[in-house]
Amino acid sequence: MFVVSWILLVLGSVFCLIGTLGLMRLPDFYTRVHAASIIDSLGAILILLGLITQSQDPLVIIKLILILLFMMLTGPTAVHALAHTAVLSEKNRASDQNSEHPQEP
Amino acid sequence: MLIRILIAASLLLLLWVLLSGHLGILLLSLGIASGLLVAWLIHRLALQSPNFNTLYFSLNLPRFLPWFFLEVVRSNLDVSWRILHPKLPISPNTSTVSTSKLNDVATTTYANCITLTPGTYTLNVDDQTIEVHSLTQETAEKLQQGKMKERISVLQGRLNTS
Repeated sequence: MFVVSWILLVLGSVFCLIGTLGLMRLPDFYTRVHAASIIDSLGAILILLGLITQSQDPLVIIKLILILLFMMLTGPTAVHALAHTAVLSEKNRASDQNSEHPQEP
Repeated sequence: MLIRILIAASLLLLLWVLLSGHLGILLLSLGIASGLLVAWLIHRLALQSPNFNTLYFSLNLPRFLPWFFLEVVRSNLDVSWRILHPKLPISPNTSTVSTSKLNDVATTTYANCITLTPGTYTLNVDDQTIEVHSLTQETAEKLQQGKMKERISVLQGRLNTS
């Protein structure tokens, strides 16, 4: 069990590292979000599974599973809010520029 | 409606007791108060969609989750491989997928599942469509095939064709 737990923890860390690397390497905001979602899907799942296999207390295990469930709900909500705001502000900026410099007929 | 609030409040109280582990009068009454408050807030948000069967949805979830988890792992490996690749083989694009025949809860589930799998996330949700940003052309095409939507429409059970 100890070995399994460490394998899961190390694998989770590797995926967090890959996600961070992606955050640096990818060219713009919209693609960087994809890298960030690696961190809070497989990275978080593997690390939490590693912690679950490490503990003997059932109450702790239940709490960790609940954290996992809440992350599955809050993660995509946050990503969607961020991306949606980016799209909206881009549209706003575009319309502002149009009104400042009206196109010539 | 009052019954629904009370059921939700007692489930929340159970969660409270489970997480705190204390059974003192003060903490219990605080738990009851916050359970009722949250249940009332949820009711006020009108999260219950009229043509949504909670029990059916929950019972079908175990059939959906293993497939979905595999899909998450697969897309994680794909995106990781692309990030580590020296040439960075990506082709970012936006596309739309239809959500016809899905009710409100199923549409939300669909949008969240799209966001949870790396390589795709939702930009905007309309009545009939979801706007999706994909990291590569292939992931966009895979989403267009609609395998995930099929599985989620099974999840919602009763199909309303309106």
